[in-house]
Amino acid sequence: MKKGQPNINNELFLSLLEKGEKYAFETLFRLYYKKLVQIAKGYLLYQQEAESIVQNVFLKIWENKESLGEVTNINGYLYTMTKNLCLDQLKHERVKRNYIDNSYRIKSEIQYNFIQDETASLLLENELESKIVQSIDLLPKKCKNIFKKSRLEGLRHSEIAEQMGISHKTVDSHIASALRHMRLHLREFISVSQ
Amino acid sequence: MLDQKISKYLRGTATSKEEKEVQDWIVSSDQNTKRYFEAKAEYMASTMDDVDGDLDASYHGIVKTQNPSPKNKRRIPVAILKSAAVLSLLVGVTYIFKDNIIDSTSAPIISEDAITLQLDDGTVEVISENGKAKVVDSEGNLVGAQQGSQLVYKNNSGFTEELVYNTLTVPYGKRFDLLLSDGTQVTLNSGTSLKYPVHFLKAMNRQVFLDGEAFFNVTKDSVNAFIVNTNQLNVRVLGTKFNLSSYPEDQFVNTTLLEGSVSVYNKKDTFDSANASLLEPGFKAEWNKYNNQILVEEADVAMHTDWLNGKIILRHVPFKNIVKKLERHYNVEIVNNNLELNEELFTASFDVETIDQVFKTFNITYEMDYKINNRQIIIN
Repeated sequence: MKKGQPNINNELFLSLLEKGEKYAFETLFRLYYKKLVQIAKGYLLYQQEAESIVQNVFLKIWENKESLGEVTNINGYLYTMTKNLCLDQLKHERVKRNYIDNSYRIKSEIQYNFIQDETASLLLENELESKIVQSIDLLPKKCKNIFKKSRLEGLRHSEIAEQMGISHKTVDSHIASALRHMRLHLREFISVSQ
Repeated sequence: MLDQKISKYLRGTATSKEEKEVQDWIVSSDQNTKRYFEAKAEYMASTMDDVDGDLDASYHGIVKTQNPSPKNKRRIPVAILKSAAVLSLLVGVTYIFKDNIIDSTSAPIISEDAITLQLDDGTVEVISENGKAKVVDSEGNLVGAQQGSQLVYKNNSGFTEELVYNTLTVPYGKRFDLLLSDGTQVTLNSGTSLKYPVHFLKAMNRQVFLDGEAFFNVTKDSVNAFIVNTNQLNVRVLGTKFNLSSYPEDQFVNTTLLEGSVSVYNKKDTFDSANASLLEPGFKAEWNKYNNQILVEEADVAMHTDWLNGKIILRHVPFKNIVKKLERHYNVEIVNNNLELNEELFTASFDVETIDQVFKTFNITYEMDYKINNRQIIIN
């Protein structure tokens, strides 16, 4: 990971989830859901199943939150769970379908081997992590500054307004928009190095 | 040649003949298999970038999974459903306590069929089609008003130091007009949202943000360029008429020029006449999201602007692209289980037909086994 970039704070994330903190769960969902759906679409034969697979991943996480203690890398954990559920689905399809259609059979065989290819998996897992980190960094600059001051440095809105020479209202609206776009609790999960 | 076919195969746009060719190539050697796996992983990584859109809907999907899709055999046990429902309630409460600023979870639920206007402070108002909505700024001054099917903003006057944005969102099956404060006219097509400043700043480029399709008639200002930002592509003009279609679910971003001139360039670059493609009237720039290529060619302008008159014109368009157009235009859901049909090319022109008539017409040229249930159409 390059210097100066935010990192995913695994331990805090996991310990909050274990305690049953719903906002940690929602943050995880908002960060990862769509990206995992894209991955599932790539792994499956029928893309329309991707969303329900990833929803199952999140339901499982919530269901098993007490036993997340063994997990050290939340990114890898989410990725692997998604992959495994897709693999199950492919196996299931294989059994269900009787191979009348030859082109379907080859296609399914290729997908099946692809999902188990280690090089490809590693590449995807790493890509996923770096895209998550990027998406955290995507807030507009001014918005992010104000958000950091408020949530990371714990300043009051009136103090920020004074420091930055802008109106109280502007501070409010920037923070509201940061929350609206992200609904993330950056302080808890992301260690931002300045 | 083969690379092109592989990339079509990855995107799922290969014809069944090409598909077979690529598959044969993949399985013919370990080396080829490896090469394909690499390409596939890279392609998948690139799709992770195009993931804008409404997360709230998905989040609510997970917390109220009462009607799982029929394809999904795995039923979620009731116990998890219950815990998920409790979860959603608690999340709402958490927000009220923790943030205390906005709480969108407690806002009244807005119908998905409504035209909406989101103000800078995050409040969302419904624009009824023949209503008289008014837009006021934070000090209570009137900045815009609705006139029939158009929202009109007041001219840039006085002093504006900070950009204040509004976002107009038009659902499937509807269209709406907008007159921006600089006099630029915009028509938003179905399933589109546009974010724009209530007033443009003086001596600054005029920037708006498009998600979907819109027709722009930009007021000439030779100093301050007008820039439409889409997900990956920016379109920069001084004063002109053009159509821009950039739906997140479509593979291509199409810019079609009617008058004047426009420059199209990658969003990652800052504008420079060297890295931009310049369009002439009657031409279009087709940006392929997957391989980042721009193709400039002479365009069938009518085909790209027919929607302004409520028409759909199709010329040699594969069925799978037609599906999305019809869904947006008629606000229906089309489930196509006949995969062969996807690659069939159609040429047609629809005016004021109902969706029933549209399908009857398809049925004449291509025997289609379809069923219409309310807003859902299933093709088998």
